[in-house]
Amino acid sequence: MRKGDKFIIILAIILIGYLYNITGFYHGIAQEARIITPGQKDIIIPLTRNASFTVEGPLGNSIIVVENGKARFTRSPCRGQQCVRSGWLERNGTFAACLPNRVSLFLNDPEQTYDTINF
Amino acid sequence: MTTTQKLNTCKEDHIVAWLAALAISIHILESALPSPLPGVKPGFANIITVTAFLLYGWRSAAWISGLRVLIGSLLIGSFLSPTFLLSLSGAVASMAMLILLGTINSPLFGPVSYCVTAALAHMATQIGIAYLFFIPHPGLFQLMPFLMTIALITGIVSGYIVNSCLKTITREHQHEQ
Repeated sequence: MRKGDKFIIILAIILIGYLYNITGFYHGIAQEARIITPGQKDIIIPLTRNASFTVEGPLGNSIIVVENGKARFTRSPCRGQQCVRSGWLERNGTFAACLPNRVSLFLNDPEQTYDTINF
Repeated sequence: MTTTQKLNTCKEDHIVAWLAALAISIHILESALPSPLPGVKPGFANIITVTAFLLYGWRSAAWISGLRVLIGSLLIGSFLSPTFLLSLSGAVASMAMLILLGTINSPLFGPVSYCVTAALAHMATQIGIAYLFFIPHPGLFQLMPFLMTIALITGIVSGYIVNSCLKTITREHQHEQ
């Protein structure tokens, strides 16, 4: 490999790193979260304030915590604990759902983009 | 009664035809390979284009690249389909990049440089064209860093292959003389 080759590769790595950086921010940090429960109105919570929410579902109480602009399930009465394992949500368009307890947590996407596209 | 007409071919025509045939074969072999993501393939047909570019200049390389896109798509059955347009635009972009590096013509840049820049230009143009004509959704650009990473890796690998091709070819030439 010649000197110019290394230079080009380093340049390319910088370019790609930059791409990773800007596309990561494309979805943007969410400003608010929406808790969806059956039979109730959606609860919209701001992510700017640390708080904890207890939501009742068919199985019991799910606890959703907001901390430092992120939100997550911390406790759930379900068996699988998929919702808790989804971890912290921060970006627009991300979500965690507890199907057994029918509680889901959506980080709002103000642009309301598509979930998926295929053709 | 049949009449045969003799076409006057020069040495360059033969080289172009042979190398284009090779590039088309690689192109078709690659399209038969299973791919983790639609449209992601190693692009090793570009090895032939870059080798031809470095040995015989951009005209031959452009012919080989153009023939590969045209005949490859006819054989695969994607002629004038979106895939064809993506393939064509990528080929034009990588050719433009090769010509750009060729005009700089610095001894600092070896085959790896040529392959990497061509691969990146190929991928970036394809994403741009796909966005303009087929998937006008900004989410497409989410794929860009990942696809560009793959392009970089395959570019480096093909660069090394071009390097060893050139070495073998020059050694063969010395044997003949």
